[in-house]
This record gives sequence, C-alpha cells and structure tokens, in this order.
Amino acid sequence: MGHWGRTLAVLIVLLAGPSAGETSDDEVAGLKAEIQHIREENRALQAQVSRQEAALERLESRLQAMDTGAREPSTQAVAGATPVLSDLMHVPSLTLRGFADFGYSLKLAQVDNTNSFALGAADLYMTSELTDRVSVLVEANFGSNSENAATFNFQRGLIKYWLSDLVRITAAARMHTPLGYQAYHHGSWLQTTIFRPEIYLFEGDDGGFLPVHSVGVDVSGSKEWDALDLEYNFGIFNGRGRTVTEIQHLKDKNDGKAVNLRVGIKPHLIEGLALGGDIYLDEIPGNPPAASRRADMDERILGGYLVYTTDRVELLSELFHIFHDDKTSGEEFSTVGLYVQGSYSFGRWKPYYRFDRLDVANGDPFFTAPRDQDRLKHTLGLRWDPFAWNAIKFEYSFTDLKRTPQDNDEHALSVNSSYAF
Amino acid sequence: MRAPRLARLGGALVVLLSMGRPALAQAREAAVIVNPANPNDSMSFQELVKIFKQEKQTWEDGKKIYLLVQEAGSVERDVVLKTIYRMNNDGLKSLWLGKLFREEIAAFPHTVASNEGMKRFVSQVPTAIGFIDAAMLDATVKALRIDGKLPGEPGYPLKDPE
Repeated sequence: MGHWGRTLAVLIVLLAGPSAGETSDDEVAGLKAEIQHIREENRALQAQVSRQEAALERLESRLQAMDTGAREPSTQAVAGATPVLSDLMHVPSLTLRGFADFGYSLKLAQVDNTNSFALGAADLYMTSELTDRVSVLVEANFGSNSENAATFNFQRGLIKYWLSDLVRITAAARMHTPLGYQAYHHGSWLQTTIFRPEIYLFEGDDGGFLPVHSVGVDVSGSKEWDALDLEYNFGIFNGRGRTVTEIQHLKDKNDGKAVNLRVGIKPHLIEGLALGGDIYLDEIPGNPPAASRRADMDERILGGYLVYTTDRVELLSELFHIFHDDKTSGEEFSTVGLYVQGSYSFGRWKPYYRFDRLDVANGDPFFTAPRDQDRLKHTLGLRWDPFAWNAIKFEYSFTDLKRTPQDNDEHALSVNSSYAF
Repeated sequence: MRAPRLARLGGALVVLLSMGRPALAQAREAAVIVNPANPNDSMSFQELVKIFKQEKQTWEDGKKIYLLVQEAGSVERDVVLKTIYRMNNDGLKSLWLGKLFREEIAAFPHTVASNEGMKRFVSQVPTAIGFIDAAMLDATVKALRIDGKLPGEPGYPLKDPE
C-alpha cells in the first residue's frame, strides 16, 4: 500500500495546487505531461513487480516439486537429514549444440579451382554431465569432400573426469590433440577468420600436417601462483597411422605410442598474455606398399605459442617444427609451419590479418603431394557479428605456392556466414 | 507565488523518485554470495574473475564450484558483466559456447530468474556461488568480501561504473 498510496497522495498534491487563475497554460501543460510520465512509470513498475512475483512463484513451485520428489524415495534416510537441491543437481541430461557455415569463394588467377558456393561443415556436439565431476562430449561432423561426396565424420567422443583444477583426466575414443594454443576447432564461428591456419589444416581432405585428432588418454590441469598461472597437458595416444590421413581409432599399427606434453603459462603481470610450448613424440608405422615407406619413422614435433588477447585485441602467433627420422632412407626431414594473426574489435566489427608460412621438407615420404609444397599466405578480412550466434566474414587471401618453378600465386575472395545453434 | 509552487512540485518529484527508484539505485552494487557453511569469507577480485569465468572450478577443499548467474536483463547481471566479465550478454554467450566446445566446461552455468531465487538456491547448496542485489542480503546467505571489501564499503569492486 505504501508505494502506491504515496504515489496517489503526491498526485493529489499536484492536482490540488493553486487556482487556475495563478497558473499559466504552459505550467498546466507541463504538469499534465509530468502526471502522464508518472502514470507511465507506475505502469512500468507494476509490470515489473508482476513479472518478479510470477518468477518467484515459478521458482517456489519448482522448489516444492523437487523437495517432494527427493523425499518420496528416501524412506530409509537418516532422521533429520533434509534433502537439498544439491542431491538433485546432477541428473544427466543431454545438451545438443551445433555449428554450420556457408560461403562463396571467388578464385582469381588460379587454374585448378572454380568459383564456388561452398557448403561448410555442419557440426553437432552433445554434452552431458553424468555427475558434478564426470562429463561426456560427442561430436559429429557432416560435410562434403573435394569430389562433392557427402561425408560424415565422428570427430570427438570423450569422457572427462574433473578430479580437481590440477588434475582432469580425459579418456577419449577420439579428441583434439592438445597441441599449441588451441584456438582452432571445428566450427568456423568460433574462430576469427574463415579458414584455419595452414599448419592447423585437418589431416584429411584439407591436406594438413599436424596430428590434429588423437585417440588415447590426456591428463590436464592448471595451478595458480602469485605471479602466474600454469596449465599443462600430458597425453598418450595411438599416434599417427601409416598415412597422414589415417587416424587410428581401433587398432594401432605398431606398439609405439605417441606421447605429448604441453605446458603453458599466463603471467599476471600482463593480463591477456599467454605463452607455452609442447613436444610430441611418435613412431609412425611403416607403409610397405609404398617403397619409400617400408620402415617405421620417428616423429618429433616441437611447438611454441605466444598470444595476447583482451576483450578487443587478439594477437596469436604459433610455430611448429616437425622432424621425421626416416628409417627407410636413413634421412631426417624437417618441416616448419607458423602463423601470426592479429585482430581488433570495434563493437560488432573485427578487421583481421594473418600471415602463414609453410616450409615443407623436400622429399619427406610422409608429406607427399599435395602436401609437398611450400607456401606463403596473407589473409586480410573483416568479421561482422550481426547478433550473438552469427558471424559474416569477408576475406581476401593471397597465397604464394612454390610447388613448381612457374608462378602459382593464388588470389581469392571469400564470403562466409557461420552460425551456432 | 511561483516559488512555493515550484518547491511543492520539486518536493513531490523527489518523493516520487525516491519511491520508484530505490531498488535500482541500490542494485548498482552486486553482492557475491555463498552458502553460510562455505568456509570462505573473502577472496581477491582476481580469484573471483577466475571462478566466474570458470577458469577455477573447485574450492580449496576439492569440491566442485557450482556457479549460478542471473538471467539476462537483471541489473545485477549487468553489474557483473561490466565489472567481472567486461563484456556484454552476447560476448558472454560466446565465451560459454567456446569453453563448452573446447571442453573447458561441461555445461553452461545454471541461471536463476531473481534475487530471491538466487538466495534460495545458494542457501541450500553448500558449494554454490552467485550474486544478488546488495540490498537484498539477509542471513540465509553469506556475502563474500572482495579484496577485503563488503558491499557499501568504499572501493568495493562490484559496483556499476556508471
């Protein structure tokens, strides 16, 4: 009563002011406008109170229902033990999310590609909390290959045990190998640019170099100190298959397991700065049908990253050095890939630039055509997020391919709409 | 004659404003609340940011932190967005989605619709942490000191910078 009573009283005071003879027309009009304003404000407040009361009623109903549900089966509960919401919080439920994208690329001065609309990948991932410390994630990807055939890929399937911030165990049918800064996953909506860096291309149709997917176990965690935060990953995987594209889901072709250690730090002195590195060791099984790949090959990947990110700035730089000790030829091959990327957000607009460089070892029998080409690539683009779940990107790229003596420069204009749902 | 009349009008407006806007005025400070059984009485602002961004997900005793946030549109959420997350609602959605996809979190934080709902939840869940309008604090929950400050004290960091 107090609020509305006082409001009414004030209105009466206002309306019962001096006689009309003392009041000019302007003052009357002003008072009327003020009264109208107050009435509108009161209506808004009433609506707000109604909404809050309704929300409160809903919550109380839910709470009552949950309490009732908890008590019914607990006939053997210890007397006095009151069921609380925490007993009911972790009933597994499935959450389904997805990404997809669609785009058009205009290839300029390039002979082996045509201008194309391109259906990007549609990526679905499902998550569920089994308990407050155990969660699962399954990810599936629908797309097309370069021959326009539809593809379906099981991308990730893992169960994660959250023992503490320091120790989290991921056991996976398949996971993204914890290499580098891990800015890139499936779903181009997540990344600033349309395309992934050259060194991070997927192993399959994309022609990538790194073992982006692995099957095995990974232990990760983080630790805080006064001066810095430390994070780590230590994993054991089946490792590479006989070819770059083969991911060993069910059977490792040799007994040697890949081992990966990644360490990163975030100094508190500069908020947004992160740096780290990793080492990945594997024994790649031989591939006897290929004369140059009869024996196993030792692989050693060294990586490092230095990034600086704030709510507006994104500066990413990563470098990977891939060594192959080929037991068939007795030679060692060394491939280097790096990228540097920068962007700055102006509200919903984000211009960006990336430089990619790949120096592929000559004659490496594991990185055969079309991977056997050095390249430099400059990418200039603009990302626009018209709303939270959609990004439209405009991108120009210039790629200097060095596969043959003649000039193989590529210029491409691309537009892409990516979205999360 | 005009002065008394204007004075009355001014006084009336002051009364009206003081009636209609007290909640908004006080809601510019958000109190961080935990269950009264939670052994923590205070934390640094840096630690608070890590918990709210789910970079830190367990309490010191190893129990999982149960983070609660208010639904979009509440004044308290706006204060937390500006001071802790330093982003808008869209940015926060992107943050959670990215973390979910990178396996850094298992699920989005749970949301509640009101200060009362938040207090009710936190008062029943020993590992929960959330935030409410500082004016709505009562004995059912415990307000944490942030950088040694409670709501209402000078220098309290969860205050709308506007």
